[in-house]
Amino acid sequence: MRRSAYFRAALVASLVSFALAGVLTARIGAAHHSVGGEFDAHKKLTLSGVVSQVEWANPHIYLHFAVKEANGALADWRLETVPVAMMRKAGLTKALLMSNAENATVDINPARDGTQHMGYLLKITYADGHHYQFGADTPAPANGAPPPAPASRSP
Amino acid sequence: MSTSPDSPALSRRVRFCRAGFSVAVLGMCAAVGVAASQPQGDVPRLSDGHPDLNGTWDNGSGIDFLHPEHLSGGSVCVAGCDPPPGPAVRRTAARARPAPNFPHYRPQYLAKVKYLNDHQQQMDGVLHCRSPGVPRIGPPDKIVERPGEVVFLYDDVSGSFWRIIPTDGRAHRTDVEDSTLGDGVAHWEGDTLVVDDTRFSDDTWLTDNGAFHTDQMHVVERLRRVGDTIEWQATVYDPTVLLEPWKTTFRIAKLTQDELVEPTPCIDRDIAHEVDNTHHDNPR
Repeated sequence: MRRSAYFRAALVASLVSFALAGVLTARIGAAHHSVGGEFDAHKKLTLSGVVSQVEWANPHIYLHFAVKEANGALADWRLETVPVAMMRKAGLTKALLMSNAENATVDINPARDGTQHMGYLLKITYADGHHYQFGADTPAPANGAPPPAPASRSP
Repeated sequence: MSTSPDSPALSRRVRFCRAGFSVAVLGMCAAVGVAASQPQGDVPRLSDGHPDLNGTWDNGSGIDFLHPEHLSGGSVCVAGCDPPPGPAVRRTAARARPAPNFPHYRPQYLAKVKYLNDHQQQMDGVLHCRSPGVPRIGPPDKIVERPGEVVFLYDDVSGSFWRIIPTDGRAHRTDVEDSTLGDGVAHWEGDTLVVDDTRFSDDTWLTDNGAFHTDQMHVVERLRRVGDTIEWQATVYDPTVLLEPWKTTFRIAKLTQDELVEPTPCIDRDIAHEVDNTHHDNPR
């Protein structure tokens, strides 16, 4: 009797666990990128400026990007990107991110909480045309569906 | 000649086939078990005859799913890569991740798991640069093997960690506080290093998504060198909250000449800017 009650409890718990795992999987899959609670995947900004600093840190590397504003002042944009392990796996280094730093262009998702000059770095394109991409650079539609496929591949 | 489904002849054949199948399966299991525990000839060994585990081991850092694409002109796509023009082809970057391997909790604890997962940004210490603990930290990134002890070094996204694990037969320490990495002692079973871990604190998770454990958790890690790889898997025993022992995802670390570098600082600057409980995907 006790054994049968145990097996019933185990069966119920297993079914609930599987259901929970399914929910968790769906939630993971729905995330646009790993920091969706912090940056707005539905908005993309494109900025031109200069790479002024790279903070080589975990859990995310930060790239500082100096952008000349309308009044002539330089704004220091703080752009979050991938962890060190991902950057190293891609063969990218602080020196590579900093080289050819003038006249670069970045695509970013801005901060959701309204913090000025903060964003998630999707793509940086340098003056000579080469680029490093860290996230889909097409904004996700507001209804939560995946972002549409871009018309063409970046050079 | 036909045979009815319930004829004695068919029944005997079925029994015979079942028995044969069972013997074959048992034989295969026995063979695998013997292979796993008996010394292998192609493994480098130390003077004491045990496999040489010394070295730096690339364990994938939990990002095996990531396959950066190196493009023309020095461009690199790390994630979110555009599909190439023309017919659809198999993507190579950011492949689908494996299905989650999640512990089976007793029914009365499932609500707690869900609550922790729903509040993952606040409750998961890893997102705050705290230790992932054993077994979530996975296989070591470097092993130093000496007579009487092994030293495990970890280069983790949360920081750098180390463990000194006696192999000389001594018992667990009683003069240490509970901790995220616990107290480990190890012994050899054939060519497999078996690490027995106790004295855990209860403020880490077994894996992502609210998989908590108690301070009564007991973990057994098994490491086996196969050629230039180390196979690692841990089994978690925490019967207060788990219905059954839980095995971590099987991991294989590859010997590498890429030496560990100075620890990278972990500085949490995200949580203050989170505006809701959107799940923070945390591959590990």
